[in-house]
Amino acid sequence: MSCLKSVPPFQKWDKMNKVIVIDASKCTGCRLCELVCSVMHNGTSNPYRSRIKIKKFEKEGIFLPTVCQHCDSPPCIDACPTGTRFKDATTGRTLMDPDRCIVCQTCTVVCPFGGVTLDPVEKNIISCDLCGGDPVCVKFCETGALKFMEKQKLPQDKRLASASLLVRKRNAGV
Amino acid sequence: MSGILIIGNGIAGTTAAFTLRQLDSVKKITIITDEKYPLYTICALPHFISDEVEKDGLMIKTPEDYEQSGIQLLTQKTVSAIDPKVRKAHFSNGDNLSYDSLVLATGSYPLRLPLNGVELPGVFFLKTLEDAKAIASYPCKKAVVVGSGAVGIETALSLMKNGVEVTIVELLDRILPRALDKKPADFLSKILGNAGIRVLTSEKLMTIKGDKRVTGVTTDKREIPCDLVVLGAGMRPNVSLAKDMGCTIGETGGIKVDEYMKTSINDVYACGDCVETNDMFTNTKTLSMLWNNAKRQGNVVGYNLAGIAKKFPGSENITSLECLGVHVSSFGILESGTNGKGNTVEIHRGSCHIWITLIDDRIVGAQSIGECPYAHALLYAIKRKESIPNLKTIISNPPDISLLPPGYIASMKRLIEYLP
Repeated sequence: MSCLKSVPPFQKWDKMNKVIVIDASKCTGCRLCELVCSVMHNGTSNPYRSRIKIKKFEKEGIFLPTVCQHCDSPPCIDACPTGTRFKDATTGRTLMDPDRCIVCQTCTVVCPFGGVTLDPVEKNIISCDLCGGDPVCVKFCETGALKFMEKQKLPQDKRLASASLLVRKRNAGV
Repeated sequence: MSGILIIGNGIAGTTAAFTLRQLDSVKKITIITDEKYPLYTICALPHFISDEVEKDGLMIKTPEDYEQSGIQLLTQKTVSAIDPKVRKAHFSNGDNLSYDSLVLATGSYPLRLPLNGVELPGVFFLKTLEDAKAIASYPCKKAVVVGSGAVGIETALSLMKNGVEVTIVELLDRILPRALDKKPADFLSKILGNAGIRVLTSEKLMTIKGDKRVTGVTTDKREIPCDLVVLGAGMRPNVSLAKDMGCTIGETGGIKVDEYMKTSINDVYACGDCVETNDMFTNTKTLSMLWNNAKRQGNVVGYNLAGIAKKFPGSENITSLECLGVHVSSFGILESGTNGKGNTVEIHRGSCHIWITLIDDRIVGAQSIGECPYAHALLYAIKRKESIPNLKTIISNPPDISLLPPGYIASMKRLIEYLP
């Protein structure tokens, strides 16, 4: 769209259609990703303003990172009444033009992942922009719960994971 | 080859055109509109009145976008009649244009209340950019907004931000009646009241007074002096063209379409505010008139025009707006719309207030006021037709976390503690 302004910069891209992939079983809930995300985007270390969020369940020991999945047909784009959210044709990212936003927050409601949120300080809509092609949260994730990979490789990766789980179960005699 | 003719340049018609162009680079596409501008958003018009959004911020497409995609946009032209037998559209200025397939995206028009004084200067509707410009430039000190839909409330807020004393007059017993039940609506009324907007519910507008310009309105209970009236008493589907050419009209007054958005006439499609669709949540016929449904319908029409069969899954009624820094959202069925079968669970936590509508333990609707981190999960639960016992099983032993969005499980886990 040619009338869009102030699109986030985009430099270090090497391959198209890469997304942040989450392996919740590896997450230890250290929340370092939240800190570095807010530092990267706002210059303050404030997890409330992070674009990636860890939901913690201490009793059960479950930690679930939630972040924008840059879907192929995003409900947030369909629902946005002002044409604020759009798909970046070259990289497949779901981005937004903050100048057009009226903060109706329809996008936060329709996203099934909870990937679009409201910045509680500046009261504007925020979502993952993949840091222009080199997400800091992935770089700082110590356990490998966050990975940055191409969408096409996803099914292959999942197949490998479930196959190795089967092998492990068989070896353990379950 | 005479190509595709699309009547209407709203989000539905434009989405249909651009979707088709993505799938088919050859077909000739023509869009006809009686408006002056390319596609702009009408949802931000109230923000335009209060100068929060500039005119450029309203524009979603520029004339160059149409040119680059090879879509012909004919502005300020009105189609007076269509002859489906010879596939020809006649314009009001005497020209005509033949087509292979036709898309009716004629939209809706604001309801003109049959009252005295509707013609007076100072009485406005809010549907087009021209209307918004007229309201913004009209000098006034006191305004009355009739009807309290999302646009009515946002207009009232915009006028208030401009320093105008605003009164909202609503015929029903609550504001935002299509989106909120009585309790959340009263909650919102209080927020508006605290900001200085007078909210009058269960009041009927009788006449608009004035000689040369508006000087006040009379309701069945009182007289309100004002110099500006915005009539937001509802929208009606614009189906006159469709009716004249012989399309079947549904019982709600919208053009009847099948799940491929085809009308009763061959090669004639319809999408947007003017059609009657199935409601995804209630499974009844509805006139949705919401942006996201119009866009999804336009997308379906684009696919079907390109020869790829695509079905429209149904309209979803999602309302979400921001009032003075407070987020109000609503989706699914209201308790007042369940015919007494449903009940409501209220959750109040800090600044987050949620009303969840249940029918037989099944979540069918939700309304929230304030910062609600569970809204997305509730919408997803309604779409999955989730029952509470079923939810509890999922939460206590998740089948496979990768099968469900993690945010959904996380939010539901928090929420389930408050549910019965």
